[in-house]
This record gives sequence, C-alpha cells and structure tokens, in this order.
Amino acid sequence: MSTTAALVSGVILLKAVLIGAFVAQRRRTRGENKAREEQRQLVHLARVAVVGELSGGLAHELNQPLTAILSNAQAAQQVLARDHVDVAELREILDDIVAADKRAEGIITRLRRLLKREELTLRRVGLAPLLDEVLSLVRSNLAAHCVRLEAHIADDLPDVLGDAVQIQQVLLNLLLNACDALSEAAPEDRRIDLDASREPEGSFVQVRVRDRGPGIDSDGLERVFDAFFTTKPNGLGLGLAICKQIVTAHGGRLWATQNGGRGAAFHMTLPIFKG
Amino acid sequence: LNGTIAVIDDDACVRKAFGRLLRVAGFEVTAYASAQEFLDAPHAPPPDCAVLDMHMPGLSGLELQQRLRAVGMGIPLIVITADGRTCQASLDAGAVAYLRKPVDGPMLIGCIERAIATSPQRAQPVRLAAGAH
Repeated sequence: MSTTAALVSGVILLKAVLIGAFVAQRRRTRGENKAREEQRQLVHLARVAVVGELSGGLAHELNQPLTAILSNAQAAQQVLARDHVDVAELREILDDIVAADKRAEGIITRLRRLLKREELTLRRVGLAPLLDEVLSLVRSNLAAHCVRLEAHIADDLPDVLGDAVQIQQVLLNLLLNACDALSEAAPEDRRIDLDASREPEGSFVQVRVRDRGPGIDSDGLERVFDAFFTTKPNGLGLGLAICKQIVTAHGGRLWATQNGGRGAAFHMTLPIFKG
Repeated sequence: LNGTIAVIDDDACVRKAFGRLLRVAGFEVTAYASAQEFLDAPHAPPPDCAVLDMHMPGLSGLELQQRLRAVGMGIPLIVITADGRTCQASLDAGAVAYLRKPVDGPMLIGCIERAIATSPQRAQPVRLAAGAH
C-alpha cells in the first residue's frame, strides 16, 4: 500500500471513529435528555396531584374573600339607603372590599405558579415568605379537617438555595400527609407543628413537620419514601418518593422519625444560600 | 336593636364583613375567632342567635353544637358551610338553618330574624366555660 493510500485509509478510519463516537454521544445525550424530561414530567404530575388534593380547600379559600366582598358590598348598599350617608364608613367598606379582592387574586397567582412546568432551577429563595405562601395554600384544607397549625419560624431564618416551586411541593405534601394522619384524632390532638430554623452546624436550614397522629412504626420510617409505598386507601405512594428526589437534587435530606411517641415527624434540610 | 348575634368564624376578614352587615341591619354583634373562644366567654345572657362556621381549626362547628346541647344551651344556630355532608349533620344536631358561602346578606338576615322570632326561648344565662370543656 502506498503512503498516500495508507494516509487516506487512516483519515477514513479516524473519521469513522469520530462519527461513531459522535453518534454514541448524541444517543447518550438523547437518552439523558429523555430521562431528565421524564423525571421533570413525573415531578410535575406529582405536583398536579397535590393541587388536586388542595382543590377543595382552595375553593373554600377563594370563597372566604368572595363572602367578605359580597357581605361588605351588601352592607354598603344598606348604608347608601340611609337618609344620611356616612362617607367615612363607605370608604372603610370599600377598602375592605379591595383587600378581599387582592387576597383572592393572591390565591389564584399562587395556584398558577404551582402548576407551571419548569426545569429545576436553583436560585436564592426566601424560605420564610415561601412558608407563609404554603400555609395560605393549605389553610382551608386544615380548617376543613379542624386541624390547627402552629408555625415556629426563626426570625433569623436565612434564605436557601433551591427551586421555590419544588420546595413548595415538598412542604405541601408533608402538610397534607400530616393532616390526613390526624383524621381520627381527638380535637386536642388535631395539631400540626411546623418549625424552621438554621441547623446548629451551619450551612443548612431544617424544616420539621410534626403531627400527633398514629405515627409510623420503625420499619415504615424508611419505607415511606419507597415508590408505591402508601398507607392511604386511594394513594399512589409516589408523593414522598418524589419529595425525597427533589430534596436530594437540592443537596438536602428528607427523613422521618417518630414524634416523641406521639405521631410522626418529617425533617427536611436545604442548603443556605451563600451568594 | 333587632337582637344579639354571635358570629363565630376563624377568618378575620369574613368575621368583620358579617359583623358589619349585621350591625348595619340593626343587630348587636359579638365576634369570636374559634369555637373554643365562644365556649370560654361568659354568656349572660346568651346571644339570641349564633352564626357559626363549620370548618374551623381545633373544635369544629359541629362539635360546638354538641357541647352546647350537652349543657342545655338552646341558642338558635345558623351554620355556614360548603360541605353537603356537614349540612345534614348540623341540622340533625339542631341547627335551624345552613347557608353556603358566599352567603347572600338579605338571606342571612332573613334566617336570623326567623330564627329569633321562632326561638322557644331567650335562653337562661349559662356560663359555658365551666361545664363544656
């Protein structure tokens, strides 16, 4: 074989190897993209399921400002029917109507945000306002089950690095599960405690959701995070498994313990935002 | 005044709006943020009628009804609820009417007027806190 022919063969061989590697890489990338897309869809579907669970409560939560608007407007009609109209009273009524309307708008905005389908995006998240938002979404569900919520959020709670919507998804799951666990509880035990504070060691925030329900046995403490493990008659058993994936993707941890012999406690850590 | 009304609702915005609507209509209104708050308050004399939200954190509206019955306090109760199952349960427990949110003002006022007019008693003074927990 001449030198030229050998060179051409070498070039062809090199091209073939490069094309082969390129094709393999594209296949691998496509496979990874597909897996990532499937994971994203799964997380989104789980979030839609949470919104489904919230829907009754959200309808009630929207009914509250609507009730206030209607009662205030009808009170204003009565005030206007008097011989002497008190303008200051009417102004106060109108202020309350505006406030109730804004409250309803806030509920719809939060719901829309929760249903958005987006990639996991880690950025600075104010955990304290996020917790307030979560509590406002779940408030009516808790009231419907006559469950009280005691929130203890540290004043110096630092911001975390995370995806606000996905953190909300985890918190909603934990709170709705705690609420379900209290369905048979006596009135004085229908209580959920939510604590959020910086971990003593430094670079994580810990959020705890504790209930006073029947609790979880020691075997179940690990298994609750397995896919398709559920204690609910109509549950799919995916909620906590996906929650764990979400928290792990944030670089945090999610685990369960007994709540001092009285119910269950779920603990989540999230990394503090460091700028 | 047309009568004394207790408004028991955990939502501050709804409590204020119901209170305003009823005051403008000529009632004297006292508002309570929970069933327990109502139970803990002295009622001498008891209100002529109570407007009671069914779903509240802690003691539910239905449980409050049962405790009032247990101490023989026959206040006419108008229950506000969105849940069909609790409507029937509250009527069974002695509520005179139920209404769904958002509640129509004239309808609520009409219910209260009828409840007071047909009430068999303006109940005797009872202090609930002692016996109702």
